[in-house]
Amino acid sequence: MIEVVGFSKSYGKEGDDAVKELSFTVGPSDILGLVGPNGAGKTTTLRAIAGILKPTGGTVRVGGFDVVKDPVAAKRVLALVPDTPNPYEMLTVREHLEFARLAYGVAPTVDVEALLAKFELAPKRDELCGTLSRGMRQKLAICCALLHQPAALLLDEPLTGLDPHGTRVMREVIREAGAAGTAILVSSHQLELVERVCTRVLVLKKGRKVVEGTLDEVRAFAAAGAGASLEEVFFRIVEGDGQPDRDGALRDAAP
Amino acid sequence: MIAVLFRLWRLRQRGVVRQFFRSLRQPVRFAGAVVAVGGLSLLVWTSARDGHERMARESFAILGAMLFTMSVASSFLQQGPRFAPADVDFLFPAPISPRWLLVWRLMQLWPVTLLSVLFMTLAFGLRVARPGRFYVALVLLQMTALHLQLLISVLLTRLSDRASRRLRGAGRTVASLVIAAALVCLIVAVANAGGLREWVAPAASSPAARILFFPSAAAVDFVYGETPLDTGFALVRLVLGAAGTLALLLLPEVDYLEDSVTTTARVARALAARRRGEIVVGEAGGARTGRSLALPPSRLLFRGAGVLVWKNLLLLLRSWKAVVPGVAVGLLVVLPGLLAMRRGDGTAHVAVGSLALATIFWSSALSFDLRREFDRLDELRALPLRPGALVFAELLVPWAIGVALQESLLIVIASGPASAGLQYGALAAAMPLLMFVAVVIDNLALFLFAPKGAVTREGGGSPGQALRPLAWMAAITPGLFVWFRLSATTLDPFWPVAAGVAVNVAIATSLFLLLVRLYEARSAEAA
Repeated sequence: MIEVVGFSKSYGKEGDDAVKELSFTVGPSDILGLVGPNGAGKTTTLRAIAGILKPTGGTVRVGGFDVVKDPVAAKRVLALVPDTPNPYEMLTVREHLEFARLAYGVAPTVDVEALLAKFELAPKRDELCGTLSRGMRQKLAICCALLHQPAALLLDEPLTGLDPHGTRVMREVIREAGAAGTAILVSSHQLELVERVCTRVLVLKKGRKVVEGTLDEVRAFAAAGAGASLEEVFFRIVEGDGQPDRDGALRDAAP
Repeated sequence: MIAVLFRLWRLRQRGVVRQFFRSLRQPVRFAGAVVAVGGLSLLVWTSARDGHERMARESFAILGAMLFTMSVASSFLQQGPRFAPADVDFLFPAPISPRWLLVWRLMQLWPVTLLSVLFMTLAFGLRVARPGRFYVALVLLQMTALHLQLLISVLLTRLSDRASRRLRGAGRTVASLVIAAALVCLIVAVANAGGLREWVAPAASSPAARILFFPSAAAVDFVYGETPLDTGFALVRLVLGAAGTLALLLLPEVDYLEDSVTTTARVARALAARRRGEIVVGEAGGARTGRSLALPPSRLLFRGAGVLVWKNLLLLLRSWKAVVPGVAVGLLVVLPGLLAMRRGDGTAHVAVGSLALATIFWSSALSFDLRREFDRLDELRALPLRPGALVFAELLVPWAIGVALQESLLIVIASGPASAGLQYGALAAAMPLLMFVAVVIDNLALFLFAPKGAVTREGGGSPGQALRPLAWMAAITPGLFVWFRLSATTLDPFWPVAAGVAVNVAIATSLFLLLVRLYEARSAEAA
């Protein structure tokens, strides 16, 4: 569903690559966790898949559509939840959902009221988005993303600002969407979330893929024990010693 | 797609209008709206009253040409059109092509054009024989400029990184200078004063200008056309200009989204900071701190509360590029009167009046005081400093620089042929007080009207910002009133001036003490 091949992105000077020759795929029902330290290129990757940033190399396809050559078709099957959503502050929550529905040009395929209730937004339905807290804005953005039941869902730090209930609901929503066949790409610093919901993990460091696989495969790559948490594995990998990864790319030496 | 965009637009505009009327329930906003309507009515009345000087064809030619120039030149300052942050988050990932997103952007900008031209018509259009034509002509001219503005900013995204970096440097400086020069010409044209008018007016009506500023030339012909044929032909040219530039804009399918994301984020940060009375350090001024921007902290002046002066000076040095436009706007306000006065037109009072008004601009532009510290009040209170000394030290930088600017200009004015030494001396003595009152009121506005929740990214500015000039005028009027009243009763100029100054010093002191009290009372958490 999401196919990234040799994707590179540089800002400004040549050689100053935010992401370098990144390749991976996320199939239906796949939940891929994208982890890495700050500046690793996670948000850049998500935004490029969403068709907002132009790749400087490689191809990105969503639902079979190239996001550069046929962006509208690709976006129709895609939803992005940004890390810090900025909703239209003068619209009410209900109007904002209507706005999102119209923007995607689809009839509502999910029960909006049930969605609002699930994310505890029902009592806020007639409140202006400008009055919502950060967590509520995050919930609203997720509701907007789920409205058209996308085939591919991109979540950038989805738990930011969420309360414990919201966090639990978010985890359930990701699992449910995955079970329903949605290809999901989750970028998060919250390794516990990745460990609990993702079927596979991709570790990025300085714009390069270090390793990709199931948690067990990643554990094996990092030479960590079977019971090692993703956090332990993560630190072993990003502070590793520069061994090559299994695709042949060089792993960066630890600073 | 157009139907979908229209429904989205209607949904959004309904929210904006509803929120505007709801906001009128707040007394401060209601007062602000009443003041705005009152000001507009006054403007219409003074513009339409009998005997008011009619706007000459040449003046309208300058007005049109400069409005067009400023709009088009400003496009070089934006690589990729600016959108609302919500557009970036919710419409950019949606299945809407960049071309239709441009239409969406235009749907936001066209109504603004209609309203802003209505305002211009009320202000200046009633001075022409046909205000209706004035409105139509300026709407079409502004739409053409808007389309070109978006087209240029879209095409700029096609440049290579190296070319765009070059453009960001020299090109943007040139664009800024063009805008500033156009603004000067505009003020000269509107104020009908100043020595520049003699060569600006023929230049704006020359054959080359008629080609370069083609919508402006058509607008002039339309407004001042005498025969139906002339007027009709001019209208056709105006409509073709607007429609043609729209077609040019929508013809190429350019993916500008990435640049627009950057531009939108940059402008949103700057706007949010400006609403809080701040200047974004490192945004325009650059974050580099070279040797030239260093300032040793160990000077005698910078001990104790003086360390706050040192800190504010450093911030000013590191954000000077962001400060310059605000200071320049203040200078431009003064310029027409200054030019007229130096030509000996006997309008020195205009220069002095505009100099006093520049106080408000400079106080706003030089906001290196408590306005920047609103989120750090607890940290400030933790310093071992008396509140009065701390607040005074915070106000010193904008006050001192503002006064320096005022006094410099006053020297220029006083050296003109219409010089009247004693009056200028009194004015020079009064300027520090006027600037101090302005700075204190600007800080008070923040404490009195700052929103308790998150700073909004959309909607208008704080009502406190709108009421600041009025508060400033109300604060200085008692002293002026006392001065004028006493001047009528005695020939000795000393006592009226002394009494007026005493009254204003008392008011300034009271306002300062109020600011200190508010500083002590306001918790950072509430901010």
